[in-house]
Amino acid sequence: MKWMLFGPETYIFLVAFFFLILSMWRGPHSEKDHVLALALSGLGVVISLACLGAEGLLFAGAYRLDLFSQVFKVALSFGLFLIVCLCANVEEIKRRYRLEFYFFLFVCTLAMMLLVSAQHLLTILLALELSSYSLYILVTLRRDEDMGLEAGIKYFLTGIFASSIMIFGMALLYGATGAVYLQDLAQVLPEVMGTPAAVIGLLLTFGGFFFKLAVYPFHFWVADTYQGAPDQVTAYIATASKVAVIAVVIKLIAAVDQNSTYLIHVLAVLSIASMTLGNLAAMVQKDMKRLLAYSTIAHSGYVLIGILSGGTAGYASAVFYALALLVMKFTVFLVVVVLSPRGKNLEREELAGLHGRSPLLALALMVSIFSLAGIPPTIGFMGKFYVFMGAMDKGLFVLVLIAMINVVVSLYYYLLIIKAAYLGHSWETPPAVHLPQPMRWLTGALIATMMVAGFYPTPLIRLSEAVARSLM
Amino acid sequence: MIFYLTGGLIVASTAMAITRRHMVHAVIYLLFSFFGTAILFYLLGAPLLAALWVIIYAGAIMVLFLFVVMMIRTDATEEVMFPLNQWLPAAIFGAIYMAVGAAVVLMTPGTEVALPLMAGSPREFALYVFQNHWLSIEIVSLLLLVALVGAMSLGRGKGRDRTEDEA
Amino acid sequence: MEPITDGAMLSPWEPGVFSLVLFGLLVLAFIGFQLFIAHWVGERKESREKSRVYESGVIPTGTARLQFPVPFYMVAIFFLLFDVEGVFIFAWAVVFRDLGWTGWFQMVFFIIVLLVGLAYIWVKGGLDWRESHRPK
Repeated sequence: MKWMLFGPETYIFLVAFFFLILSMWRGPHSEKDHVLALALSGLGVVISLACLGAEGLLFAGAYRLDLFSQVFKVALSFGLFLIVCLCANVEEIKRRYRLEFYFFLFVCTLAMMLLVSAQHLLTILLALELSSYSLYILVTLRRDEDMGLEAGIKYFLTGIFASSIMIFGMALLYGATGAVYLQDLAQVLPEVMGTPAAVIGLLLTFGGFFFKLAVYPFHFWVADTYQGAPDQVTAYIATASKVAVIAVVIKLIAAVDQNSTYLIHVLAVLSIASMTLGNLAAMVQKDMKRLLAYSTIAHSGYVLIGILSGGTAGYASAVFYALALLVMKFTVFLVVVVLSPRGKNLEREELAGLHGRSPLLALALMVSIFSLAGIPPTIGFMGKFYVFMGAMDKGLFVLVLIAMINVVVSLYYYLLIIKAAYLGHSWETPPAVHLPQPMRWLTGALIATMMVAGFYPTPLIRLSEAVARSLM
Repeated sequence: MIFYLTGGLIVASTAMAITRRHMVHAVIYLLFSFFGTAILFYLLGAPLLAALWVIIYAGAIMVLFLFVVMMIRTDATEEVMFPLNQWLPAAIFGAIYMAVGAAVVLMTPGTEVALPLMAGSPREFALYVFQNHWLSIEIVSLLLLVALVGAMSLGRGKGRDRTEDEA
Repeated sequence: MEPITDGAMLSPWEPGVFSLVLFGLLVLAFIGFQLFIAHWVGERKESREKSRVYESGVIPTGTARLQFPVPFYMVAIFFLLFDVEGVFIFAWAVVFRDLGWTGWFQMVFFIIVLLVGLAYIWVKGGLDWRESHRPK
């Protein structure tokens, strides 16, 4: 039965609908809703795991299920689950819209699932729009209205601009190749690669995705949006939505990249620019969320290295990095969400004395920051190592060198965070952080994941390679 | 011939629309541009699209624009032109864009031959859409739903929110 | 729009709306004729009463550039969204018979999704012009 293949999507859709109808039925009950969402999203993870082996083409070839898409669907539903875990205390969201908040979260996840499977340019476009629209609105739901609205409008304006660029690019691409399915595109594109229409179309199309990925020329929105959005939403944008976009970019590049050096050059330039800019700008940030925003830009640069190296190794390294990003970014955001004072953003200085307040959180912060910085033995180190190895194999030595320099630069601000958490002293001693028992388990599990995957990454690497192979 | 004439009309009216200081005038020019686009669709053999274009763009979206214009206070309409350093980069990028566009048109093989001769009657068009792209249609429905709920949550008054949140 | 002769530039699709175009031209000509006659025959006299804005007989107060309240805008958005829905339904209705039950189910799904949206804005009071009852 073909419908079984569509399981995770159907399920998430039904859950989203359920929340919408619930919001009509009764007012929000924070705790009940949270438990409900937690259970439902947990079930979502199980269902997407169950559909891991699904393969096939649906909807007249516009929708392709393979290991690649299914693994990313699991990652997405897992990301959703983690984010819902953070929503136990959504003080930041306007009270009236708590149920709608879940609705948008689920719809957004659904859109991203559609995105990683879509094969038709139109479907890709629509799924991307669906996810971005949900995000635009999620950003504005912040209780502090001015902040949320400002962030939302900035995000929205830049977002629709990027979308229109992308649509224009797709139109040019279609005009040049006459193909709308990715697999057709892969066949037709090499012939017309030299023509301006194809080249520009391709670049503009990627522009839209790079906007979502926050790669250098399209990065303006990131800092402001991260800063203004509710913490949970920021965490969602930084983790799940990035994973989905990385997946799409990998898929697109794998489809169109027929060893064209030209595209590789463009990607290399963008990668270097976003790494450097992200890391340099992150150094001067005080607000934790802004800092993480710039670090996101830098990480997008690293991922691009993996993607542009191409081949099974390159794509596998990018997949690995995406999965690693999901875990480590989330852990940092967990700490940020738990610690941030009501209605305000967390400042770096406010981390001072965290070690005394909650050793577990401090440990989680340290491990995840080390992981982001790429210090062994963490998952982040393995990710970077793997990416750089892939690039070295392709002989992109200069690129790797620049990336290495960037890693060193980034150490500066990452270590500042850890210094604040462990060595900093705050003037008055804030109360110890109370962490509910399930959250402790979650934190512990995340730390364990990052460390174990750092020591013993082989299964994950095997998985990424299998994923990358299914793409080729 | 009509094709180029309409194209020119669209470009001209859009240019007028973005340079008008008075927003209502800009909206009216935009309306011309939309009608021109509808005619283009018609000429290219897509009558259904042309009709829908008029209904949606010239009808609904224009109304929306007008309301937005009315909602914003339009006292300070008589501004001067933007200072030079603001529009110069835009103008440079526009020029680059023109060059690139010319390159796209001139250097791509196939542009000098006639347009692919085809026509889509409403029936063919609808059949094609519903048989090949119905997943996209369902996504569109979700998109509309999200837009509805979103508009709802954004458009509700600010004052009420405050009181309720504090309660 | 006359049937196009230089087919190299345009699609050879003959727009079968010649009668409509003719009708439109006739209407335009008629209106133009009337305006011209009124202009030519009628006499002109300027007066303050005449140059006042016509508001169905009500003497206008203030400028027309007032700030419109938000509900107008909301209604416009809702109208736009359901207009787009209508477009898809229209396209579907044209080929209703050819698509059969599959198409029917596709459309049912489509409409249900939007019906829920309609119910949502209804329940939440988006359709109320004033805040007549408190939303849930």
